[in-house]
Amino acid sequence: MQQDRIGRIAEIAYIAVILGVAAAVWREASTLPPAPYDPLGPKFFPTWVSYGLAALAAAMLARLALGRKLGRAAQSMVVGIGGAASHAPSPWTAALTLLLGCAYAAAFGFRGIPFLPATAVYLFLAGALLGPLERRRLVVVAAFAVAMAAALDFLFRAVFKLDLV
Amino acid sequence: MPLLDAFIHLLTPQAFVILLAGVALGISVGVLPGITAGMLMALTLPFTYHMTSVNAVTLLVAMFVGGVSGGLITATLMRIPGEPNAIMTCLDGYQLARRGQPGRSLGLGNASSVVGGTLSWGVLVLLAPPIAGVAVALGPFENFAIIVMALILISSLSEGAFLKGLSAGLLGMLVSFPGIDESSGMLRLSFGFIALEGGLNSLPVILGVFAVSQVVADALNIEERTDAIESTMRGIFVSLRDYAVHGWNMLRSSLIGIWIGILPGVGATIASIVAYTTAKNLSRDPDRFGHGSEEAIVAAESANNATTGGTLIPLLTLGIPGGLTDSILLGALVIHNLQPGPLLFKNNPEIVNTIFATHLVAHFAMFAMMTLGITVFARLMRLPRAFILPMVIVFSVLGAFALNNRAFDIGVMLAFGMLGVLLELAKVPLAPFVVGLVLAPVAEAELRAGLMSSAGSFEPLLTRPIACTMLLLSAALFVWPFVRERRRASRIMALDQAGTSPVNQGGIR
Repeated sequence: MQQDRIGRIAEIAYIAVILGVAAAVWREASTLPPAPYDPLGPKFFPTWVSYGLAALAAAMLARLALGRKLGRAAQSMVVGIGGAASHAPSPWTAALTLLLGCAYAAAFGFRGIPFLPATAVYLFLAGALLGPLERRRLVVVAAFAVAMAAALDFLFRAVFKLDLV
Repeated sequence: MPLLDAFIHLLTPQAFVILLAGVALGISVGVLPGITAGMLMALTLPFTYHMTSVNAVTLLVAMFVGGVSGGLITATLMRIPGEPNAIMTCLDGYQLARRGQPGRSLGLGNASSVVGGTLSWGVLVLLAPPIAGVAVALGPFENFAIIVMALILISSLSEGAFLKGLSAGLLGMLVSFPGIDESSGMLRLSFGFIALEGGLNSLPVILGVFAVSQVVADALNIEERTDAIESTMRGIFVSLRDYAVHGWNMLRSSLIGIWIGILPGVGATIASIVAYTTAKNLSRDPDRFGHGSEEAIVAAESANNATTGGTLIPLLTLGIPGGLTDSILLGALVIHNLQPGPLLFKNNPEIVNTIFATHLVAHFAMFAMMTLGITVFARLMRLPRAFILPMVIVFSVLGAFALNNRAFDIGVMLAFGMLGVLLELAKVPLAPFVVGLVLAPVAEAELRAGLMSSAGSFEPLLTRPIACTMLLLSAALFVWPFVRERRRASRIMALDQAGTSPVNQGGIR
C-alpha cells in the first residue's frame, strides 16, 4: 500500500517534471530565429519533441484522473526500489547517502579540499552511515577509507594522469 | 582486420588481459546484488579514453558477457538475481543448491550459458554482415524512419508502460539538444548558461541516471538480509552425458534467446522467462519446475546468454539497442566516435570483428572462470555494501570529472542522478531514455540530410516504400498498447460477468 502511494506521488512528480521541461524547452526554442539555408532549422526538433512530451504528460494526467494505471517498468537496472520488500526500507539512509555524495562532489568539483582527505572522509562517513555504529566496525571502515583513498589517489594521478588537487 | 586476425589479436597478451579483466569484472558485478553490468560499463567508460578503440570495445563487450553470466551465482546461492535476467534461475537453481547440490546447479547453469552464448555468436556472425549489407543501401529518410520505429518499439514492447517509456525517450532526446546546432551553427537551448553552450555530454548523464540512482536504491534497501548457501566445487564439471541429455533443451532455449535478443526492448529477462515456460510446457516432468529442476536451470541460463548475440545484431547493423545494457554499450561506442549501423561494417571493420571475436572468446573465458573460480566469486557476495556503494559514487564523480576536467559535468551527473531516482520511483523504463539520448542527434542529422536532398519536402517519408512501411509500423506499434489494453479490459469484464475472473479465483491477473 505504502509502495503504491510512493509510486503514485512519484508518477505525479514525473509528469510535473516533464511538463515543466517541455514548457521551458518550447519557450527557449521559440526565441530561435529560422535558419536561412537549413530546411529544418535549430528549433524544429526541440519544438516538436516538447509538443510530444507535453501531449504524453497530458495523456498520463488524464489516465490518472480517470483512475487508470500508467503501467510500470517490468524490470529495472536499479534493483530494489519499489520491489516486494522483505525488510523495512531506509529512506533517511538513502537521503543522507545522496546528500553525502553531493557534498563530496561539491568538495571535489570546487577543489576546496585536496582529493585524498576528501575521499577518505567521504568513504568513512558513507561507510559508517550504511551500517550499524559499532566501534569495531567503524575502525574497519576507517582503515578501508584511508587505504582506498590512498590507492585511488595513486591510481588516478599516476596512471590516469587526472588533474586532482 | 578480418575475423581471424581479430581472434589472433585477442590472444596477444595485452588484449587477452583486458578481455579477462572485463569478464572477471562483469562476473563480479553480476555476483554483487544491486550492481549491474550496465552500471559497470558506464563507470568504466571514462577510463577507456586512454585505450585504443579496439581495446576499449574488447573490455566493454567482455564486461557485457561476464555481467549476463555472473547473476547465476547469486541466483543459485542466495536466491537473489544478481542481474535481473537471472530471475528464473532463482526458482530452481536455489532449490537444487538447498538440496545439497550447489556445484551441480552452478555447473549446469554455466554449461548452458556457454552453449547459449556460442550458438548466439554463430547467428550473430552469420546474420549481421548481410543485414548490414542491405541496411547500407538505405537513404536518410529510411534511417530516420528506423530510428522513430526503434524508439516506439522499445517503448511499446519492453515494459508494459508505453506512455512512460515514450516520454522517457523524448526526455532523453531533449537532453541531447542543447549546444551548437551542427547544421545552422546557431546556439540553442543554453538557457543563458555558458556551461550549456558546449552541450550536455552523454556520459555524465548516463552515470547519473544509472550509477547514482542505483546507489540511492541500494541505500534504501540497506537493511535487506539474505542467507547464502556455501558453494562447493563438487558437481561443477558437467559430463558429456549431461550435454546429451539436455542438448535439445539447450538448443531450443538458445534459439528462443537469440530471437528475443534480436527484438528491440524485450531483453534477456523475458527470454529466460519464455524459455523456462516453454521447457516446462514441453517437459515430461513439469511438476519438478520450481523445485530444483535441472531442465529449468538449463532453459533459463541458455536463453539469457543467447540474447547477448541476438541483441548485438540490431545494435551493430542498424544502431538499435535491444535493451538497457545494450543502450549503454551503444552510448559507449558513440562516445568512442564509433556510430553503430551499417557504415560501421564499412568504415570500422576492425571494430566489428573485434566485437565478434570478443563475444565468443569472452564466453569461453567466462566458462573457465566460473568453473574454476566459483568459490572466489561466491565470496564477493559477502562484501559489505557499506564499502561498495561509496566507491561507486567516488568512481562516478571521478568519471564525470575526467571527461573534460570541469566541475560542471559533476553537477550534471548529480542532477541526472536525482532524475534517475525519480524515474525509478515512478517506475519509468530507463532504456528508452538512453535510446532517445543517443539516437536523437542521428535522427536529426538523417532527417536534415533527407530534406536537403528533397528540397525541403517531407513527401519521401510517405512515397519511399521502406520509409513509409517503417512509419506505418511505428503507427501500429503506437496504437497497439491501447488496443491490447482495451481487449484485456473487455476480456476481464466478460470473465467477471461469467464469475470466472482470475481475480475471483484468487489468481494473478
